[in-house]
Amino acid sequence: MSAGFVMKQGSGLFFRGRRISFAAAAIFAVVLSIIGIFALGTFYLLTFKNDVESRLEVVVFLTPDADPDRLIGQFVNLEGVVEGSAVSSQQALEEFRLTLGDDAELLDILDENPLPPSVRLKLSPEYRSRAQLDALEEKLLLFDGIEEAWIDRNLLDRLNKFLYVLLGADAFVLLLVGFSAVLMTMLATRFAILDRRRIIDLYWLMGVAPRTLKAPYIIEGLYEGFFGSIISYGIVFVIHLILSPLLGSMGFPALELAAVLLGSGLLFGWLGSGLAIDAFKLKRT
Amino acid sequence: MILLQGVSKEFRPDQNVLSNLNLKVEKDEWVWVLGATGAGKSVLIKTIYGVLAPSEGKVLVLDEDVASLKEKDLAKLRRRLGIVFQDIRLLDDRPVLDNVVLILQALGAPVREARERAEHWLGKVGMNDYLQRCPYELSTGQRQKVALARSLAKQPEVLLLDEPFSALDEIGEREMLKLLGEVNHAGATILAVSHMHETLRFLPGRILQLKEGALQ
Repeated sequence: MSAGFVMKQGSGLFFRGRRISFAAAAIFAVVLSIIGIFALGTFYLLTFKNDVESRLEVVVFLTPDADPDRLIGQFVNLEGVVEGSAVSSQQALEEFRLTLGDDAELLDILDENPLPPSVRLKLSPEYRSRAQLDALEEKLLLFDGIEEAWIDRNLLDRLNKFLYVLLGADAFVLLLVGFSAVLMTMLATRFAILDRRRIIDLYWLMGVAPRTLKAPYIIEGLYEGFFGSIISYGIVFVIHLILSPLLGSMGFPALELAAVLLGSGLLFGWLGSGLAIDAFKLKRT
Repeated sequence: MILLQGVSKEFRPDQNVLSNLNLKVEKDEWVWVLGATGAGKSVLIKTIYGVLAPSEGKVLVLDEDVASLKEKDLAKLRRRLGIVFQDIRLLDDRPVLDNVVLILQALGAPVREARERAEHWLGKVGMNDYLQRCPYELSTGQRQKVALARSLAKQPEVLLLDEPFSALDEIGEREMLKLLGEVNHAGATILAVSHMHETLRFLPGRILQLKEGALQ
């Protein structure tokens, strides 16, 4: 089989059958755009989650007589703890005052500062899971001079739940629209085959291998997926540009998105045309 | 080369187009099967070529049992065969040259070689001046010549011809017979079917008669 000949035939199928090929590519573009938008949303959420996680701190409240520096020295030896910083009762009160804003005057009625000194610990990214946080809390409470260890697990849990839901939706969308894309490619390939039935029969009669007969249609499907993915990439990028004023410094996952869209486009194109051509029977009475 | 053992073909129950047919064509042999319209000549050629499956019996071509071959093996066998169908079967919207070149390329020949072989054989059948014409611009006889060139360009071991000269004049027919004689002499086995009894006097090779689906 001559690869050049097959490529030429496949390109010819795509570019000569303009209307049907471009209609198929347009359907791919729509389908892949939906996938791309979901992928982009997932990326945004992942970025947001990472940002939140990077700010996640374990606050260890100390007894008044505890030595924060000595404890920090011991904490940083624990697995997953990157660094620690001491916060005195006074600093904590000042921060609280800033948090309260205009209501900070309320604190003036207090006779004494009720906030205990604390140590804030930063964690390495791989130690930010719920289970690891629980294990770390247990270890921290074993030290002398510790009153309580506080971690904002709820935020983390909510983010994780939302992420799982979105990932589930991603998979569902990928499956659903992917299925429609495969069906559409099958239909487009069928039309192309019907249109060229006489030629295919002739080639088959002349002894052309079934593989050589079928390969151009697979290539046509890949073309449709390829062009569809390029168009959808543009669409998703424009959506990102429109949203960017709301997103702050959140970037665009150019390479990852290109890989997802191109991979999905080529996969759906190959599957759709492959299934259609496999269903095609070469004449033999 | 070609061996038919008890081959029958029926399209409807109890209506045999071919009936218990036995035929052996040796290597380098040239065999003509003559018969009236509806005698089963085209069915015979199509059965040998694997287009039709026999209802009974066995068809062996180049030691391959044609009916039992898988798609890819049948294609492999057909690459070693040449055929001219009665209805010619050309790509009407492609020039004469492309009609041969594209088939050769699809069979694996590089572009340049395919073109050279196509031009050579189209020249041999006298179609050099029509390379860029589309088949619909040609007469039936010229179309038959293109179909013959397409088959010969494959350099087949066995050539199957179904009414190959039905639309040619006497001079054209003699020229084609001369060309086929050269091809046969060069080692190709030829099985041709025709209804033209008047050409019997200058047909080379062994001549058989097909009557009501049986060889006589």
